[in-house]
Amino acid sequence: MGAAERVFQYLKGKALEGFEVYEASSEEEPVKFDQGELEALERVRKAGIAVRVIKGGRLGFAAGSDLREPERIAEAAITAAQFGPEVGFKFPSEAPGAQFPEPVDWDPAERVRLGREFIAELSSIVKGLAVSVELEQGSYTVRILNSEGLDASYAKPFYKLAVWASGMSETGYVSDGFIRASVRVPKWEEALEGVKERLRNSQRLAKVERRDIPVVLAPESAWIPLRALDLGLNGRNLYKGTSPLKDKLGERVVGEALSVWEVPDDPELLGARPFDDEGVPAKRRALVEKGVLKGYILDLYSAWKLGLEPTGSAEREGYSSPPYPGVSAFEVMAGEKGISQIFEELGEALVVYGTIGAGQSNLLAGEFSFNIGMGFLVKGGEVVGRVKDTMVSGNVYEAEILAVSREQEVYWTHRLPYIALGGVTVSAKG
Amino acid sequence: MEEYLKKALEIVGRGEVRLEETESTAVRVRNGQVEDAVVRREYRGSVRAFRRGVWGFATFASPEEAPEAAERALKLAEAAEGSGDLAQVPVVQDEVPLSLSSEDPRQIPLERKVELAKGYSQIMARVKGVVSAEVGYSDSYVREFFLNTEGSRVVQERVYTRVALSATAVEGSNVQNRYKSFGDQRGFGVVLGREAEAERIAAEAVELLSAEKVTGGTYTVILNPAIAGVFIHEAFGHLSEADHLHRNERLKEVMRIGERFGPPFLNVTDKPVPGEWGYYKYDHEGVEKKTTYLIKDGVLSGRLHSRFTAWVMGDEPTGNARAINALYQPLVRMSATCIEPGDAETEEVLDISEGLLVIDALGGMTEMEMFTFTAQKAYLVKNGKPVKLVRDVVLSGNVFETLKNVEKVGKEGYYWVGGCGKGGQFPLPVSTFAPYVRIKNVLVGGK
Repeated sequence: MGAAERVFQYLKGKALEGFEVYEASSEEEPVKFDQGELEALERVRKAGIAVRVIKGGRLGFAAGSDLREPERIAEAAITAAQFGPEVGFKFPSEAPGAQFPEPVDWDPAERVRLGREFIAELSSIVKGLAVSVELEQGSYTVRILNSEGLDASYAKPFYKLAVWASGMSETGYVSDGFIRASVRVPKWEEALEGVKERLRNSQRLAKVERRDIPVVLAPESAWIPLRALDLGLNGRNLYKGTSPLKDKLGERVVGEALSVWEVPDDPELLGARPFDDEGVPAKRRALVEKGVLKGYILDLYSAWKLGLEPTGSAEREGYSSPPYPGVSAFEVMAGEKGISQIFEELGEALVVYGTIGAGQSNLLAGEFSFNIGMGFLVKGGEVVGRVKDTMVSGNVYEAEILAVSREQEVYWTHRLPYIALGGVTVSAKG
Repeated sequence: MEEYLKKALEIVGRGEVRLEETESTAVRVRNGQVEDAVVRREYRGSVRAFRRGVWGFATFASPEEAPEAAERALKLAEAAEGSGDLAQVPVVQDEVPLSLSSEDPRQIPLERKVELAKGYSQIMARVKGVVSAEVGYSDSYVREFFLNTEGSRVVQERVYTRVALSATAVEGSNVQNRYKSFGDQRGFGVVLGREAEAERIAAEAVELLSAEKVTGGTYTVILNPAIAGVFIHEAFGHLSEADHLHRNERLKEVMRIGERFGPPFLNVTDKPVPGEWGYYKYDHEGVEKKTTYLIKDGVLSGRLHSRFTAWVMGDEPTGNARAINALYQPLVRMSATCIEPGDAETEEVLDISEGLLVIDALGGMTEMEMFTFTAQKAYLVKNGKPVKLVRDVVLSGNVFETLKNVEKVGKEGYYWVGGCGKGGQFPLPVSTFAPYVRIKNVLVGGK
């Protein structure tokens, strides 16, 4: 009997109102090149279980990879329930299955060869840059057993490719690259061409003179407004009363050009899943449609606190943390115009690919403020040059969404377009 | 248990094995109500094999699996060829038990931890205007076992105790937060007696609601010790980590030992400070952590190393190879990064005609020469006096220019508790120390 079953059987014999055993394991096999040199090949296995119990109307949680006596984890959860939060939800009894692609063997020798190829191609573009590459193959499995009779599981392969060029160049420090992650071996050709072009463009400098210049967030930085919405729609922040989106369902909260969906069924995205980390079915649904708030992000606990239905959006960081409201796969819906047309219509714009410090502002309130890591001044659709030492500040809820591009790119676990913002402030040094 | 680990070492021929056991509790309370009460137990390990400049690395879930992991690690290391070697280090046989000056948190019943967190939360929640008063209590005991093929054997125990206080005030769509955490490796005492701090944090969150957003531009700034610590960690400390430098010729030129980096009164160290959050005696390669002067009298004088980067750069290892847990390979990381006290009184540091006094950090990030960090709050300063509270202050700049622009370093400072992220490993316990520091010509983002 495996650890999860052992714990399940143990809990069945206890007087509990409900219980759940969550088992997660992963195997990751990265090939790592650091600054042009092969550095390490790894095999990392992570496995553990998490137990939640409801006793006396209170929830207890315990977790671990120490499975020498897994019943100790169950006992720890029962003890923790004495002091845990009051809850009134029930664990779900049914969850759908899922079909993920069969894993393929992405041969380590082939990955070493490919890594060397990326390094050779990118390091020749700008003198002084070193290229780091990580090529990873792996798999996740999740299984949830609970007192309502649920026994649901899925296994998902994943492949990740991260290519990064950085170093001191004639125009100062340069750092740019791409990350692709998917349930299939990712395609990289376009992303690689994009990086090459940006590296070439980074070797001439430009200065922004206007504080009110429109700012275009490329897919690589379009997570910034998404992160603010993610925090604002999060069930925890809603019931705490700290979200500016509380009681705003059906109201216009951001610019009309913006539509954001939860897309757990997108087969290309790494975050695709049939059910969330509590076993609640995951659904394709609108969170924001044409700027109007359509849905919140709720797990069992926050849904119960708010008196709403759970949305199938519970996330855990592996086995070791309790579930928390979170979206595993986002899509910012494509607009109608192509990015070249958007640049032409804007006349002059600042396009941002890499940011420094964008995640640290008061994003819950929608505030963002970052320095530009990799960004360019664009005039009439032509790149004038790289912009440095320049801060961009604004508020997601107050900014004007000037346009959203037709083109989208998969960035990490999200599918994102270019987003053009007005009403933000650009401060340059000097 | 140890026989399996020794077997693993025999298989790899050249390398090391780590095993760790942890036991932790975490309690989160909001507005006096418990939100999470969590207990965790981990048991895990890993083996590294070194061949021709390449590390092969494999993890295991129990010691019996260590030999299989060793075979895998060896196979991975032999799959391709790199370059470089490991610097020689002394063979160490040592056991480092807990050294506590107050109670071991493992001996404290969960109930008392819950009551403590509830108490602080209630104090903050009572302050008018506070919508969410959150307290996170956590403790974590770690026992680490390290063996290498050179004959080193190190067993280390540490226990971390921490409480984080966070108050959020809301007025319409205006959401303001104030946060502070207290932690060390000295025992449960560090989380006690924080009532006055809790009250102050709550009041400051409410006060921030009526603060104006800062106007973007270039300012003379005075950093308080907490944010000065984050600054030196983010902006300069990461640049001193040799794994960024050892293969980068241009950066090596910029970071040449002996170059002037700041005024003569600027001294920066990374050092082992027993009891502080970022402390450890031996790193995850079994190398004793040493005090390293990164800047001495304003001149670049050292950098931080793993055994590999030390070999590549021909330096002495400094004991800075650390991993967040045994499932990760060590990277070059900091311990306690310190701006050593200068000779200016705090009033003297503040004595400017116009500028910003910046208080406590929300976070920080660096991209080599460029850094950004966010303050929790700031005051406009006129004629040496803070005159007006402002918010949404984000500082950014080029570290080489910024260090040269340091005008004053104060006499008195304090340690700050941090969690550092690098290479997918977060949060690693680190400390900073700094006094008040004044810097001219700093770029601030804003309206």
